[in-house]
Amino acid sequence: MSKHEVLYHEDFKAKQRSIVLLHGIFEPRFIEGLKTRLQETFYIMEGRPSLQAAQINCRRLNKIGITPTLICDNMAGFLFAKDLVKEVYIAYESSDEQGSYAAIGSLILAVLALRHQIPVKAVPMDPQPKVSAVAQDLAFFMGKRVAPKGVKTFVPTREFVSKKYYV
Amino acid sequence: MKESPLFWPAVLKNDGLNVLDETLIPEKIRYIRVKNVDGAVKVIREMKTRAFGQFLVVLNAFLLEIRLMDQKQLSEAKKLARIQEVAQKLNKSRPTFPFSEVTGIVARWAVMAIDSKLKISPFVKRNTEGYLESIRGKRLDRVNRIAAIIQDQDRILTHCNVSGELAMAAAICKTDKKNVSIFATETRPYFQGAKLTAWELGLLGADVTLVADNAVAALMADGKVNKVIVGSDRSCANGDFANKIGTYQIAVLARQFGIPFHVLTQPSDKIRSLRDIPVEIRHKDELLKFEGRKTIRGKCGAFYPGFDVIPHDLITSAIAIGVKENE
Repeated sequence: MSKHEVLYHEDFKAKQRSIVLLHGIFEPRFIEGLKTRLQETFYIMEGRPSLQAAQINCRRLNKIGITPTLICDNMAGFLFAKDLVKEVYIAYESSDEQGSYAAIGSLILAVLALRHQIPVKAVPMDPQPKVSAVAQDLAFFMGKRVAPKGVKTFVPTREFVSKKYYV
Repeated sequence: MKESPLFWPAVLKNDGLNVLDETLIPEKIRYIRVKNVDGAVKVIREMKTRAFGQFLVVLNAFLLEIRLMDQKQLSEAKKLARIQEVAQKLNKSRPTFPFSEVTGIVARWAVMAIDSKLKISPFVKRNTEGYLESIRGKRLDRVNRIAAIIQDQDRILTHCNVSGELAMAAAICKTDKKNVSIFATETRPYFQGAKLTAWELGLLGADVTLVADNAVAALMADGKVNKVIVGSDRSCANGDFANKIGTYQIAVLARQFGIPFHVLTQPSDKIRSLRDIPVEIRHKDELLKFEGRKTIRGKCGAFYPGFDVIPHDLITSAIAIGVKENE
């Protein structure tokens, strides 16, 4: 494995406002619509515990010629703090005049985007892959136990994002 | 006070240093035997121990080397040179960590001994041991201070691992009959929260629930958490700090939802502000591979910044530990 890099705050300036952040599982037609944006930089979130969102988004983006960059669910803050994000798309399951029920992790992005004045757009989730998680899914990663036996877990798969966060 | 194994994970025993291999927890409790500075550098580079454990390894590496130098009966001049060489090796073991702040202290003691016409070995050994003892006392004191800010019915969120202090504070709260629950984020990609924090909290009898890193906003928005307590890897003169990736978004969320955000800090004036903190960008394979298997099928890059840097204005209180060079 090659050496890790060490970067300072100034080193990120060249890539300011360059990243489009995608979160949740989007309908195929939304992804296909990104064909006109092949030169842009797309980041996708892991989507613990299943990583299903990352798998599906990666496959669909590859199909239209985009190689995304993966980050863990706790790394979005870094991107915002270094002013690297220009746009956020979150996938919602249902929506009304109050806001949306979207993939877990969406509210983090919405709050970060509000703080850093970055637009957040909600687009419909792909209803086909049913994202569900059993509580104990969190105790494992790719089949390997990563948490002590018997530990309590809390694994929501959706959360409410108020319309106040949206563009 | 009941102690977590993570509170003091490196202990000198006979002619070696026993370092708790944190990568094996919670499955196994095993110690790696370190005999010299090369072994110390190895356990640090391979992340067998982290954060505070690495500082313990750094300080104890000098005690190991003093023993070896005495066995070889080196001259005082050669001992001074060797201590400086050891300091350089340790400084390079993890470039984004301020080990030089600690190795510099030990190197200065060696010079002080020479200037005062004292023998380097007993002087440096005595000062290093005293320094370690002082750190231990201050950390135990801080455990009590953490317990003091935790109230009955508190629901605390924590991230990564704070090397025993929160677990020990939770044990004190339990003794004091405070009903407290703690949510620990799993802390991808190394799972310190799942493997270490959930484990030691359970070991010390705390009520702990594990959550994915993506669930923190839901916890706060739903009122399941009323306090955040996290550690810090590095502090700036203006109060900004660096900590495990994921801390910044928790701090921002805490501010948004009006939740107090407490940080355990080690004050330092060596760095002015967060803009001066170097960030380690770790190799993409640490996200794209897990035990030799691809995590994501298809063509995918990855980006893994090791740390977040958090501005001081997001902090409600800093629970500081300060150890002076000449204590």
